[in-house]
Amino acid sequence: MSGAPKNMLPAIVVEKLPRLVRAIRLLPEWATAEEAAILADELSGITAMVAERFTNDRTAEGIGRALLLTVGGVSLGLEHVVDGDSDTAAIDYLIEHGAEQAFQAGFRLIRDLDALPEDTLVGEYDNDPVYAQRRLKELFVDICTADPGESWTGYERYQGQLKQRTQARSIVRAAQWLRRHHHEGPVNDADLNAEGVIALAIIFAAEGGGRIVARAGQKEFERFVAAVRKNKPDFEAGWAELLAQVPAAHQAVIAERIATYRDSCTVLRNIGTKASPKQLLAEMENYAGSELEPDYP
Amino acid sequence: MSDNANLPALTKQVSELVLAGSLQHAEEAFSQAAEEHGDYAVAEVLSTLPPQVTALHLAGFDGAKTSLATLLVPPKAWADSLAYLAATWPDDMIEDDPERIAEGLFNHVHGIVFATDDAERRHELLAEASATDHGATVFAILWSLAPKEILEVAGEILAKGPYVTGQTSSDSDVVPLAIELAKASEDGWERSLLELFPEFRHSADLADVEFSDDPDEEPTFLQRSTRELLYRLRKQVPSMRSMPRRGTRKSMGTDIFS
Repeated sequence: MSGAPKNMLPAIVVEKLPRLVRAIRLLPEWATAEEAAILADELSGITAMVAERFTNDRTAEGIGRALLLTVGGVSLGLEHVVDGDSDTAAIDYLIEHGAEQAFQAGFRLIRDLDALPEDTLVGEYDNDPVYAQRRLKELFVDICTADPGESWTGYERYQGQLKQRTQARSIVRAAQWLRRHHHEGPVNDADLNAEGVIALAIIFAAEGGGRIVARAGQKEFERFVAAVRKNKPDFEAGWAELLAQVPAAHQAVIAERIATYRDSCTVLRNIGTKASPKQLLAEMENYAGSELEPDYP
Repeated sequence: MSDNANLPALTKQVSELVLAGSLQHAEEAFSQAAEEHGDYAVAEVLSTLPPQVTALHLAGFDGAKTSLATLLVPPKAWADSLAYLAATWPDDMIEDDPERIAEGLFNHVHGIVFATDDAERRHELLAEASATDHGATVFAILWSLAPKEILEVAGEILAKGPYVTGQTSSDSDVVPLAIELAKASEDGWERSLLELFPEFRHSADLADVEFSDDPDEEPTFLQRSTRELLYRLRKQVPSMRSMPRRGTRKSMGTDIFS
């Protein structure tokens, strides 16, 4: 220890057991023997159903893993339906409404979370039922595996994921709106790079004229570069025109990206220099990715 | 299928005959059903029989006596029935002559698994049977008849994967079954090995172990004996006792996932 710096403090680790476990510890004072027995019955019933569906109900190991998932699932439900951090409120809920209802609430959170896009890249597998089932299981296992004797952070991780995925969904929706209103007619493609679509629309909007471009080829891009170099439009006016067409629900997402691109977009910055269209196209690909068709049609 | 409606009646009839100890008549009922409705009907009935009845019926047949049931029993029904086999073993026999019970069990398993030449059915049977805890114990009992050979096979399977020949220093009847199981279900094979050698966490550890040639020398690591494993299987026999549900709240069943 002599080598350690003087100001080093011991790490403070606060144990935070799964909510269900904390509630169960109150059973002796808060519940009758009958109520405790009912709760035990319900929890073992849930464990059996979870094992049958997600692990293996015919081996001890499968049932062991189902037990962890049950503790996490019920705890997640309790965190959601019980106000505040009170363990007495949690045990009251379990006695009054039953563990199954708490588990159902928790599992619904996982289902709803799973329905949100994981990121802003949408692919064909995202809508495939087999993959959807597998993702649901992975998410359930990831968040709800709770060892009764150890700290569990599933609810915090759930909240973090919810926030992240809600954001991803609003970006995807904004991009989908842009695609539907593409100036050449709606773009239909199972794969979507939402950030790419938005970048494309913002960069092309700088030209002015109020056209919404959600998909472009190399030819169109070269025409755009030539037009901007010739007419020297006011980018801000073009963006105001774009924003004016976008419904209120998607404005925030697009305005946020306009603000970023205003200062840092290398395509728009280099368009005023002597950069060749080829160099600019390479820059453009960094923003639009697969949404920019690189070859002449 | 012409008349599935007869199947519940047939299921009941066979159950009663088996429970009454009349295996011959139950078997006759099966062959009559097979003649009238085809093999499918028999498989259907076998899959609806309670597992303890299936166990009792199948236990009456082994390699020497074949039965329609051994040819047609659905893999899942057979796997479930294995849990009940141990219920019939008398205590003093487990104590005095565990090897004899284990050999009987081997004949039963071997009889079912190798009843037909259909490799796919064989693998399904083995995979289902070894997917349960009691299944792992059943196979461990068989392996305990020749632990040394099983260790050799385990090492060979690790080294060669599916291209095993099963050449061991002394030929044992269990070796071909072990190799089939390893081919059918890697998980099941591992589970059965760990049931026999509980100290190991992974079958890879087993490859390095050497059995001493001196039969009197104590093995240096834990190996469960046949007798111990028989008792373990006995403990896993599911009991029919079910507790009445307490409280007035109704279970919502699988709606908990809705």
